Amino acid sequence: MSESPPAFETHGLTRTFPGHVEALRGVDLAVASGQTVAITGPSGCGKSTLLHLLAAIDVPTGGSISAAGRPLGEWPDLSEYRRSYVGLVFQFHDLIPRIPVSANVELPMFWTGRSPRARRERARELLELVDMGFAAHRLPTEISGGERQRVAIARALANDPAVLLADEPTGSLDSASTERVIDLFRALRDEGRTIVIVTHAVEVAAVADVVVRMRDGVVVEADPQARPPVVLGNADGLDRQAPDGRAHRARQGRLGRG
Amino acid sequence: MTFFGLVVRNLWAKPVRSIGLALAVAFAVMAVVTLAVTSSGLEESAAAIISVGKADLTVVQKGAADILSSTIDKNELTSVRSTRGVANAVGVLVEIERINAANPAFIEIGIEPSDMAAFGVTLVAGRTYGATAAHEVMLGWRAAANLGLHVGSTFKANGTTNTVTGLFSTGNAFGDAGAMFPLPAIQGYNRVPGIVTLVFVKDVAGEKAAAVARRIEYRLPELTTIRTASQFGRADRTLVYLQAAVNGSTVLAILIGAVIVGNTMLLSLFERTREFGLLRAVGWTRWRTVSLLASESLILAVGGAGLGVGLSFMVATLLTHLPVLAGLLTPNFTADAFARALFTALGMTVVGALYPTIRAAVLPPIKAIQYE
Ligand SMILES: Nc1ncnc2c1ncn2[C@@H]1O[C@H](COP(=O)(O)OP(=O)(O)OP(=O)(O)O)[C@@H](O)[C@H]1O
Ligand SMILES: [Mg+2]
Repeated sequence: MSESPPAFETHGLTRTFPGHVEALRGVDLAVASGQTVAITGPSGCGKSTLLHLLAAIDVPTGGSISAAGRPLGEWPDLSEYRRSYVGLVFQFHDLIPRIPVSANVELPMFWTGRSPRARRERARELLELVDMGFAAHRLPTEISGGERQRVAIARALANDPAVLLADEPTGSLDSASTERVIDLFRALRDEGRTIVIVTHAVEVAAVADVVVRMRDGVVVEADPQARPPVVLGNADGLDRQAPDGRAHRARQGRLGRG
Repeated sequence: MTFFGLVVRNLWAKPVRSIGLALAVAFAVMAVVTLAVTSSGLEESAAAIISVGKADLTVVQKGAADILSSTIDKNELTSVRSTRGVANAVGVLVEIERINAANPAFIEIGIEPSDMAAFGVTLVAGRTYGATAAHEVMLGWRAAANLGLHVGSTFKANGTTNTVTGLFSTGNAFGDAGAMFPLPAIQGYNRVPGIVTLVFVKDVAGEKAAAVARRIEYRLPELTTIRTASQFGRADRTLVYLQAAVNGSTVLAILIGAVIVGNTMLLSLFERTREFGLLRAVGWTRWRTVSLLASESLILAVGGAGLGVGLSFMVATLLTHLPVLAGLLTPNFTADAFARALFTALGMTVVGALYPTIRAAVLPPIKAIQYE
């Protein structure tokens, strides 16, 4: 882990929206490769903005982002970066309603040189992974919110990205659906994938190796936390140890790794 | 799912709008193509007058409004005849007259009996009229059949009553549907003594027709020569204007269609802004995202063009059956008409897609994602 460059590293990252809205005011953050990071903080503190910058769908007004040790500006092709380095899961509204679930999962695989047939098979495989194989031919409007979220995760994994970015993936889900999505993230984590999750939910944050707290556009705290203990409402974090889960991550190797 | 499948899905999601756009394109294409094929038909029937003579080249007045208003006087005819390389020159007067509702544009040719052989006319019944006879006429065999007349019948034309002395054949459908009169008689009826409309030059004595044509044009600058249908415009300004009108209305159709295509594309863009942001976020490039939108319009345009040609075919056929137009319009569906249909449809798509495409291309993904 120490040899490979961090999945992300930001320095003094700022994003000011028109009208002097300073969504980010100098974020310094490092996400190690293979780490699972939860970003929490009050509404409006800039979590989504940060995630969008990491996903390269927005451009910072200041500071720098490196991914895999390379400044984003030096990536030759940002479309390729969005397609293959990161997989992004939005909070809601992110499936195209008029095409079937499986076609939605195929979307990132267009223009990757895969044949339509290979795309279809891969989509099928991913849907099986998130237990959504049964709904492959349904329209997104014909499945539940929790199921949609699992489909969105399948889509984010389409090109086997190094990093999975998720913005409040359980924000609109009931507890049963939330539990299934958490299981999925836990499995992905154990497989060694780098994950950044923006979440308000304590039980989602509990999956993370590190919990990053933000307020008013800056990181106020970055706590390593122990796993597996899930201590609801525990705020001290002092007696936790650095994670040592790498060993049993290797056993998995199944999720999304095609 | 393939890219094409995606395009079709997107179109099918808004069937009324998609069909509406295709129909708009189809109507524009129909208008343009109908105009083009009917004017091409007009051009062809005008050009047919020339083909009646089976000549190596035809001499007409330069820049006449239309070929039938060409005037060539006796001296000019003599000069043409005496031009080196010209073995035989036949001067004819051509008039178009409305005989009845079924024959709104009946062709009447004034020609000397002695020129008939050179003109390619053969007698099939009765006798030839006298060179200076009045009130005598010969009918083409088709005209006789159409009018229900035969040798000995009377035929009212040019304000006079004429006796049918014989029936002729030229081997040309257009000529066979007309009548022939003694030249001085028809010149008299039309008060143009000594004037002919066209001079058919035959047997250019082993020389290239082009060389003889140049010689005639040099000696008689008021006249011009026609050897092919495409040279017809030299003698018939009306057809030139008609062609210009067809081209002008094509441009107009493209502009109007472009507004419709552009509007529809913008509407799609606004409705699906978030979706385009999503595609960008999952790694589609700007242009690939835009090409999705553009392909949707392109498919509707090409479909609309096909439909438009079909509609035009129906409308043109319908027009030829309208009593007021019967016998005047013969739509001429050429490859050019199909090319024009495609050009019109693609033109309106390209022009109409310009603004929405640029707009979609410059849209930052984050703006699209945050768009509500
Ligand atoms: N396009 C924009 N234009 C102007 N201001 C914006 C824009 N996007 C976000 N903001 C502002 O930036 C700040 C941070 O927004 P962001 O969406 O990152 O918050 P968040 O932490 O994700 O909040 P939540 O938990 O409610 O999702 C907010 O004050 C928001 O109003
Ligand atoms: Mg947010």
